[in-house]
Amino acid sequence: MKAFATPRRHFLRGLGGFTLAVPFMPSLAPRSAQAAARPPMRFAMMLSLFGCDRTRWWPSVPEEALVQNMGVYTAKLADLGPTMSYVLGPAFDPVKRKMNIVRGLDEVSPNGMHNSSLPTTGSANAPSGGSGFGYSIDCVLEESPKFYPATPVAGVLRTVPGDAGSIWGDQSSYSYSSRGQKGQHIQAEWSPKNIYDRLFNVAALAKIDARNARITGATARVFDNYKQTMASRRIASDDRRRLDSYMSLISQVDKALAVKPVECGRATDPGTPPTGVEAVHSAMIDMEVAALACGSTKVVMHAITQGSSDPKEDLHGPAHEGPGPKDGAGLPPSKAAIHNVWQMTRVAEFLKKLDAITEADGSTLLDNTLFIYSNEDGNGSHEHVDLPTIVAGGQDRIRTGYLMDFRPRPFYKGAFRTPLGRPYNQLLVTAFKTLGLAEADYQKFGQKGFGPYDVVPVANAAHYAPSIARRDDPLPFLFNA
Amino acid sequence: MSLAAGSRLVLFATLMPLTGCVGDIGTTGETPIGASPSGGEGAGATTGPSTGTMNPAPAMTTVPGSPLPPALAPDKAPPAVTNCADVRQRGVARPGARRLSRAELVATLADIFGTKRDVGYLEKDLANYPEIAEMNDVTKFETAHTFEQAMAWAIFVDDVIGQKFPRELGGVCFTKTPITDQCWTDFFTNFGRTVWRRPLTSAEVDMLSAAVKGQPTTDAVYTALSMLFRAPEFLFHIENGTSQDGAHARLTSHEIANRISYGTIGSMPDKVLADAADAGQLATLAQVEAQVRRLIETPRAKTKLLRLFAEWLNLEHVLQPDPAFVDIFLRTGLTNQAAIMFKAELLEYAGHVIWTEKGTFKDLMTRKIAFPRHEGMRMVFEAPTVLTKDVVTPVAVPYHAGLLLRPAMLLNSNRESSPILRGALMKRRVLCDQLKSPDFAAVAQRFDELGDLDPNKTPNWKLVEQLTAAPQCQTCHKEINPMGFAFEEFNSIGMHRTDQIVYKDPYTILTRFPLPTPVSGVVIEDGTPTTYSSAQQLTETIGSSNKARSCTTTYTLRHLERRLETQADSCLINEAVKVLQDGKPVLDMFVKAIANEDIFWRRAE
Repeated sequence: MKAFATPRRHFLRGLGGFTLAVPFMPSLAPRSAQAAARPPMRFAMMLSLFGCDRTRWWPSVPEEALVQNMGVYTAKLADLGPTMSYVLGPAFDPVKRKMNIVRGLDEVSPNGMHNSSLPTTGSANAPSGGSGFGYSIDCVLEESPKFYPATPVAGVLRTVPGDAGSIWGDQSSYSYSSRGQKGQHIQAEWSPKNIYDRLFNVAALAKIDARNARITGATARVFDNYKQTMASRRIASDDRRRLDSYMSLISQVDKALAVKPVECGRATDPGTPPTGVEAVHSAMIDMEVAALACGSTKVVMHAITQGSSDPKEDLHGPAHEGPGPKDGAGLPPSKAAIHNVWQMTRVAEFLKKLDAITEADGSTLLDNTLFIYSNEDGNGSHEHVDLPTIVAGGQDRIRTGYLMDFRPRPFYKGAFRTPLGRPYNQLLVTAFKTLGLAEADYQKFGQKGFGPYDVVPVANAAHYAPSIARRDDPLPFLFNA
Repeated sequence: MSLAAGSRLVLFATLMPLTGCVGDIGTTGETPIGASPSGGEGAGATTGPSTGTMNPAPAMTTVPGSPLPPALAPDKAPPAVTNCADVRQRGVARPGARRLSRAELVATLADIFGTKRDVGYLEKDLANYPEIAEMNDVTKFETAHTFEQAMAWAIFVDDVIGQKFPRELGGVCFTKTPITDQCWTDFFTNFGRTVWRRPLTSAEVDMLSAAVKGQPTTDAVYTALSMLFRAPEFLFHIENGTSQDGAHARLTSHEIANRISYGTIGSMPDKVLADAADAGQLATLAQVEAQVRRLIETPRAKTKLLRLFAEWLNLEHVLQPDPAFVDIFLRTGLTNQAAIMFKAELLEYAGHVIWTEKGTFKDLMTRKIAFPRHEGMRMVFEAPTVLTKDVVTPVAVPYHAGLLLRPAMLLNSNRESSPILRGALMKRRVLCDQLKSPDFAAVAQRFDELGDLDPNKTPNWKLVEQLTAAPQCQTCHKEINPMGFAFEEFNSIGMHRTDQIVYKDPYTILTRFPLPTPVSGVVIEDGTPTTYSSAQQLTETIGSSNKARSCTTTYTLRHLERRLETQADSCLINEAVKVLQDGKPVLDMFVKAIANEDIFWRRAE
């Protein structure tokens, strides 16, 4: 079992500040307002790694039972019974009508490695390496004035529960921003206790408030000195730019520190980080749900990493091992499938906890949250197609309650061994549009769509061409706005 | 036909590493400047085209409505050097501002606060200062600050410095209340110099003093510390320079002192060096070299420069051997500690050869000594004894010759060795050859085609050969494989062997396969043999190659300057390579990499 070393002080990482312009505090709103106001839309992602055992992750639905809707092959989840698949079991039953199992989404330019950037940027090339698409969906939302008209307390709550030293580096996340340099990997918080202190602990908040006032109070002096010093300085323009950038960051830090966290009684102190990995995830989910409900943030990114999974031994090898014996053979499932069950139990827990929060208009927090689960791999063997994906919530802007299979018939495998579907990028575009962003709000680097579209290998290019030509179109049938 | 699940696992794990594994086969390497035989050495040499340029990045745009500042565009490429003897062309690759790395920050703070705050506490206090992968991959070191770093630093300055500052550090009168004007002047003159690592101008002292006047003492102290520690002057290496001359600008003696100090010990100048800077005694290469030589012999420099080996050889990603397999062989309790202990052994070996023996590059690559600090390590080395903690003299070992045959370089997480990872590590990190990422569609196709392969019936090396036989794989693997096969005389936990043993279960041998020897087709550089009968023979040749010397020197530059090399660095790299070519100690190469003409200059524009 991993020992949890509590950092001396938690860091207000990404403390992009703030309260919402009108923090969502249903208990404080007048009844008339409660009845009229539609709660704000939130976004949550759960992410994991090493793909899935495809024989046991996906529901087994006969072709003839699939119904074509807008070119998508669908089946109602309600018709699949309480156990949709070996992995997607009865734990999902309470939220089945509010979720979709989405099949046939592919990374179009895979590099064959493991990169946490895939489900959040559509790029399997690590942006930090310089070649990938250097923006993840959460960072776009964090920086969007449309999604956040006012500076939030936490633009994004990024967590890697219990994992202080994950496979991609300490406290890694699946998040990337190119705001300073292309593909900056944004770190995440591993301790639910730290989240509690940062967002909900009244005693700690008072101290933080006093500290923030001290810091911001001294900043003007630092600026004055800098101006005077730079006036007499003769350095290269690139060097000057670097120093100016730091001063600009100081200013942004001040802006973030000036925002006061909302007080909200939904969260309770999780205490010392639990030692059991399930308990850590569970406590973190509690913090995340509370943060969404209280308006502390509108975006949650919850990563299940190698170091925070069960079983905690090597998961990479078993993922490569491939499928185990078929269901019904009376033989044990693959290690990958067992791990998939463990991961999806966390996903089901998150969805159910979101659905347990009733908002002002009687809808639930899940209804008002666009939720996506996805993975950085397809089948555990570096085949980045048919990524295991769940989409839920979405405030009726997406259809729910379906298995949606985006792979056209007859199946086309191109250069791979697995039938190809649509670019995964289209799910991210769908998410942006569901969350109210226009194309100009999410497009980056002067290109249409979101993420990379350079198809590799080229043998697959013709297959994806129609989707790529209309890269800003949301996924049909799923998108319902 | 398809492979059995277990076989597929073994094959896949052999062939397909995680990103960042030892060997880094998914990454493109950079050709080191000076590696080309035509590159020439010494003054007056010119260099051909190099791929070792700054990390490319597209033009960035301001994010509309973003709470964050406009992104930084990449730096302009410096002009290429055409004549190393022309001083005006030297040092133009060097930026005049880069932020302190986390390690430098911690060391500098420790020096400022002395015994008041030890390094261990500071590292804890700065636990939230983000620095991803800096140690392992210099290409990910960001020379500018990120928002998260600026936030973490603001909090650190408030909490650790602002609230807990030991007042006596400010001087005698600084402990009085109220603090007099003269006291403030003295404080900024003396303590300010320490923090900003250079003398402050009188205008700067006046400016800082004026800012705290009239404030209550507590507030004034807080403001003063914030101004000093949150200023770019503390967080960055800023080189204003004295005079501009064409494309470069001459540094001040204190800026040169900082380069010497951060290059050698990774922290601010000590008193001797600071005094030399004050006295203007860092104006010649001889004066600079004397200071570098003095500092590089210190334990701090040894600790700092050994980090180079961790970066160069990607030690952060040394694979932990299968504990069960370790137990089968050793039964000594080494199990989960094997990777950690062998990494430490590699560093101890390098430190001994370079600092204690003053060894040459050839010594570094060939010495048959080891530091087994555990019975399990002794067994792997086949060493006569285990060394206790206080023993600093190594023992002779029969097979593990030189840096490249340390067990840390040979480990694999599976029961069988990985010739691909070993070969890729040598090619990429030791020879700086370029390797492209595999075509995974072709890999998948090969797995389908090779359904009847059985690792219990086929030797490991033969398996790899067949897996990579497709023409598109051979582009790289025709060179990776032979290099890796030459190391097959060591198993996956680094033990020497004479054949490959396949186990039926932990205690039953299923079969034995002969090793591939001699190995032919090994490509190092023009003029070197291509057939080798032992790993030792191969590593000796690598150690004598210009390519390996150039590659080592290139990684040294990256370590020292936290950036990729450019064409404009070619002179200093070639000069440092020549030190190794001349058979001088590796320590002299480190000295030359710091103490050369470039140290006096930075880019002007």
